[in-house]
Amino acid sequence: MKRELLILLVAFGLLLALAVSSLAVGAVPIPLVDVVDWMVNQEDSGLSVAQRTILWDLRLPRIFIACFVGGALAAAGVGFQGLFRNVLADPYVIGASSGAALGATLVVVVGVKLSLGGLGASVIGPMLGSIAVVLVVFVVGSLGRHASALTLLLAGIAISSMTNAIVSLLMFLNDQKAIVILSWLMGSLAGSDWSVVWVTSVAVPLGFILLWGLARQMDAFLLGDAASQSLGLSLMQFRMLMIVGASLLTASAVGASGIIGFVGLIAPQIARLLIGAKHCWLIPMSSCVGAIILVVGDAIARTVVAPAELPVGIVTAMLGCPFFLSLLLSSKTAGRV
Amino acid sequence: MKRILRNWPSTNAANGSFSIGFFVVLSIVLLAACERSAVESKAPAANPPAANSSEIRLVDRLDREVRFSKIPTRIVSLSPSTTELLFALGLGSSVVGRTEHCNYPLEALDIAKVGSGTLEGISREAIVSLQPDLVLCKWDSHQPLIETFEKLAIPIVAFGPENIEDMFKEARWIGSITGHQTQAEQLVDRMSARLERLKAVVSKISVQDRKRVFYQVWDAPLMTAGPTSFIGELLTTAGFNNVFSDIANRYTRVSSEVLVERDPQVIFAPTTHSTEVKLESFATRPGWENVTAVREGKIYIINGDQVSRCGPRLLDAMEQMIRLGYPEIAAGLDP
Repeated sequence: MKRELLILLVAFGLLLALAVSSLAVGAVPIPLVDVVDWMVNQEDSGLSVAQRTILWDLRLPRIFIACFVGGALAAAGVGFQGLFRNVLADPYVIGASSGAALGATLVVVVGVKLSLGGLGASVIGPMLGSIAVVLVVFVVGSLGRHASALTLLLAGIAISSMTNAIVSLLMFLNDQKAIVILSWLMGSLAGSDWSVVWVTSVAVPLGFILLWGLARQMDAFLLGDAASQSLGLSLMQFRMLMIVGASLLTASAVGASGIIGFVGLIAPQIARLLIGAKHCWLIPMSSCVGAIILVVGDAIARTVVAPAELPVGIVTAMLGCPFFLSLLLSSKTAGRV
Repeated sequence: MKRILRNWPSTNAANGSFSIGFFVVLSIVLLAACERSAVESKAPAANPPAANSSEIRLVDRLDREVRFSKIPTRIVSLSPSTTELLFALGLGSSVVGRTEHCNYPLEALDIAKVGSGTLEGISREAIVSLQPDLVLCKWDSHQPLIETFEKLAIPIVAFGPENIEDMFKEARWIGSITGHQTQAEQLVDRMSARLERLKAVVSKISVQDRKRVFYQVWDAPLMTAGPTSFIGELLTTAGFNNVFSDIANRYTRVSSEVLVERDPQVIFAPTTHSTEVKLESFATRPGWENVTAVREGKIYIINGDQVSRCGPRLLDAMEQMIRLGYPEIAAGLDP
């Protein structure tokens, strides 16, 4: 078996094992034996109604969302890092997070009660906001005569700053609601429910497949504009498809969980150190790593200060950073990052 | 590069079969989940909605109608002021969950904690495990909890008074859904009578003798309470003129320059849980040495738990403010 496939399978197996065992972890401890009993026997299991509610309505959707969001952010991170040929790019680099924040803020401030197929406004708002701002950035960034990836990046930075300023202004003017916005900005998986699982289970695989399908072009694109064009790559089309895929992933992630930093930046780096830089392996591997980081991070977030909870972004950064640094220092291939 | 391109078809095939496997597993899991939720969502519909006359309805602070078919006996309170109110209404034994900050009365400390009080610090799992039949959450900062608990059919009421009248109204709400109407009326009557006595004392202070006051919510950044907050109401009712009576927000940052210019005669600062408020620190702020309150030492630190909670102890805080700001009329207050 190919070495890369083996690594990927191990990572995926590890993700499955962690996801199942994290069902046993939370503010209310439920032993793994009981969790397995519940998975097999459902209503006939020996668990109380409250325990079943916790597992089914609160914990299971949360773990699903952690997998989807972690996987989506990591894949989007690979996408933007490839698109800008810069390993410091993250899923929020061209305005997805600021757009999502604006969407969420408007929903909170205006008090929209719209709901679509069971999805609350607090999910739809950030998704639409994120897509809208990325769209504006893409249009503005592609207007100039010498439009390049750099124009796009700069347009993204400028428009993000302005959007963030609008969010801050809205928070200032609506101080009663500011705290809700603030806690949304911190990112959390605590509000996960099944309606969000359905949407992400469609949107995330879609975006993922789109990016994965572009894996070979991404390899070629890394060689530079001229070289990749000579290999038959249509730059404009490639760039657009990349942005659509990566933004779909990012928008689904921010809609489901708010802004969770770090995963989209560091999961691709860890994956690159483990499996190499070839995108056909790197994209699925990054997603596995991202999902693992978020599943483990959220399990810690909901237990370490129990019965209180920590924002998951704090945990993922504190957990992932030392791991990444140790990989970086021990790896012979560190220069390739 | 050529090597990459040549290798591509084989790896692509491997990935393809892998991805198909992945999504098959995923869809089986999701389909199983789907079936399960469909069955569950039918369950409540099977029971005809209880149309009996004993059903109690309540329209909460977010204009949501909440129905109760029976009297709640397992209450989770998500703010310290609500916990104090529940105890004042004689419902202490029905409270099964509280936040870390619910520290009054002392009996409250024996109740199970469900988190730290801010939205992200509250554990939904811990609340569910207590099997509550009423959750009282803060209307402004806990909204996402409402979405979760509505879906779980656990009654949740958006709560949190922002002035004394609101507090009376919400005390009556709790009274009506818990069958403690009498206790609620008694509490309201008792507090109203005390409020009237305090107002009578304050009315002896002539308009020109009313002191300019600055209420420091936080020191860095400098923050104060505006007239729309209950603290703002407290200051005015206690006979003070809030130097920041012209701000629209409840709690907001203010300029140190404007404060110096408006020259408060009295400064109140609540104790906080994080950093100790030091009296000496006021005089060291640039420009503050000439502020009347600083020069005359009329800076008072008051019990933050009393003054920062719109609950049954609010009038204690008001009385303390009157005693500190107007010692000459304190004799007229109840001993």
